[in-house]
Amino acid sequence: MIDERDLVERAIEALVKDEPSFDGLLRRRERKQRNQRVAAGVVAVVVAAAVAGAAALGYVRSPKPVGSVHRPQGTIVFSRQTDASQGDFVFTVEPGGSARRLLKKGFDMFSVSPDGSQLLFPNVNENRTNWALPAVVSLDGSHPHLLRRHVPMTTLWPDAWSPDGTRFVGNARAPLGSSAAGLYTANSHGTDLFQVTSPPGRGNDLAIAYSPDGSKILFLRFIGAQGDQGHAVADLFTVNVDGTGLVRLNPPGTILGPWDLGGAGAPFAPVLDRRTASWSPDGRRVTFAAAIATPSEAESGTVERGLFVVNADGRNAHRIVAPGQILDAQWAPVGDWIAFSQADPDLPDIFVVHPDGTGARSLSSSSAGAGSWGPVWAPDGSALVFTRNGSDYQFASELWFVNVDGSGLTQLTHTPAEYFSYEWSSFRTAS
Amino acid sequence: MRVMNGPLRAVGNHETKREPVHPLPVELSFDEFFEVERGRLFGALIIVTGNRAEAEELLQDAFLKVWERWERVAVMDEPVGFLYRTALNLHRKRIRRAAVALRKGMDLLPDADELAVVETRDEAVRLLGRLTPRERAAIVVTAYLGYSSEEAGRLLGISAQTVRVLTSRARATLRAAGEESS
Repeated sequence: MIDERDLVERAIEALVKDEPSFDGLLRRRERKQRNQRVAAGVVAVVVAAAVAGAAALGYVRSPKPVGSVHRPQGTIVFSRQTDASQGDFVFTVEPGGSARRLLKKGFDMFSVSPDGSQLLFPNVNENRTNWALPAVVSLDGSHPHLLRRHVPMTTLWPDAWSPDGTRFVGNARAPLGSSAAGLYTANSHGTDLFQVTSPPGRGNDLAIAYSPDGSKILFLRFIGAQGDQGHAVADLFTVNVDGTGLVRLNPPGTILGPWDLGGAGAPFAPVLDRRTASWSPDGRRVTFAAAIATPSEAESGTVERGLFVVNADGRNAHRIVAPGQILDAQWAPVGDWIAFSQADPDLPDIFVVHPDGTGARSLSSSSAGAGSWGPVWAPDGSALVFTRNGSDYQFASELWFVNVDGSGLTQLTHTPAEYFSYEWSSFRTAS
Repeated sequence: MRVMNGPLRAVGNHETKREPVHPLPVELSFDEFFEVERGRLFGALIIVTGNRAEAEELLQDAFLKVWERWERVAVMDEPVGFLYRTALNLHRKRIRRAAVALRKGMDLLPDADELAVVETRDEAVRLLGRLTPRERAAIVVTAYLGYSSEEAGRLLGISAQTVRVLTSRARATLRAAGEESS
């Protein structure tokens, strides 16, 4: 009989010739602290600007009367994973945290239809790696069905609905080098498949959203080769839905991602890449968070990250707050705010700022040891839902709610887990 | 100087019937803690990840988290357990993100499982190389680190039942491999 502990000890003895040194740890710590100092300075600038801006504009924060907390209408849809072996479960919950119900199991990314009544999701076959087809399910969990049973590529991963709900865009995977890879659109029945993009080399495209008028698609083009730390980075593009007019939005010297590093050593940053950029409500501009660096520098994790606004034609890309460790960028669907999360300096917090860079303020506080990230707007732009983590445990986060004026901070979920995706539907499922 | 006398966490260690390995010496500063624990953690992470570079990166990140919280960690009952939980949690996070990336056609984790492909005369390394990465992780966390199936499941992000299945499979593979070589 084999003594497993002895076996492991002997293997370790054979494998470990040179143990990592304390000097190496010191160098890594110095890099991290340098980032934190940068981020701390940025936060100070942001806060000072916000205070000065508020004073100049005569802005006075009006506290909400106790007992009259605003709650937007609709339903919050979220995916949750408490145990990797059990997979992800998708739930719906009212903005007040009540009427939580299980919707479906087996996927962690989805897109709520424009009328809010159904979810578009990848139907994944667990027995075939990377195999997925577009499917929909009603927000009450009824009528789940595949939109396509067969596709002329290895998989078609649905990403987003068109604004009128008549079509959706998805990313297709195909054998390496095949022109079948890229973004595709199809009608809401899954037919009339049309290839919009064809990424070069080992690249891979991921759609973020249609423009509000439905004429363009905002998407990430991943750079195929990863750096020595294996983190993925991407450029941000728009393209007309007919495949013409490809425009890169992030200026030279910037790159989006990597998404698994977090900011300034933030211990957890499972920020969904689709939250990295978003359209303005009129579709004329885009906001995005990007590393101010080359791809290889970004992969090293030692760079500043900026919050940008750019015209949809790629012109006039500019930062609207000082660079720091900014993780995501979400333009409010109604109103004049952009929400983002930024390390402060270690744990990230949620901020909002006007598109012209004025009025920046924090909506959450990491002073209690809880980091916040991943803001997602309510359809009416009056509130946000976001992720908050109060411990060292990676999978111990919860979803929280806050009004855009900072009032009504409420914990929505009470099950420590990883909440990978969440969106807000205007559709109300609970009675 | 903080006093640390907590042993490595071995909650409900009735399955292995062993004392936890390497109880912590007392009166350690962080750099002494690093010196004491780095080799064993590095070895465990090489076995779990199958990749030396990945193991070193995880080790540094885990120790940095401990260092940043040293005032708090040093007075814990089980600071070594905290270190391993942190390291395995980081590993789990990377696996999770790699799974997401995989669906986008990217590979975030190193391709090579060095343990599986290594040319070695060392029998222990060769035997462990027969196991899948998940089986190796289960063996390291239960047999080597002394955690119960329940606690190992929480550390590895899988159910206790899955831990038992993995360790059972691993033992069968090791037994068969041992018989082949004898």
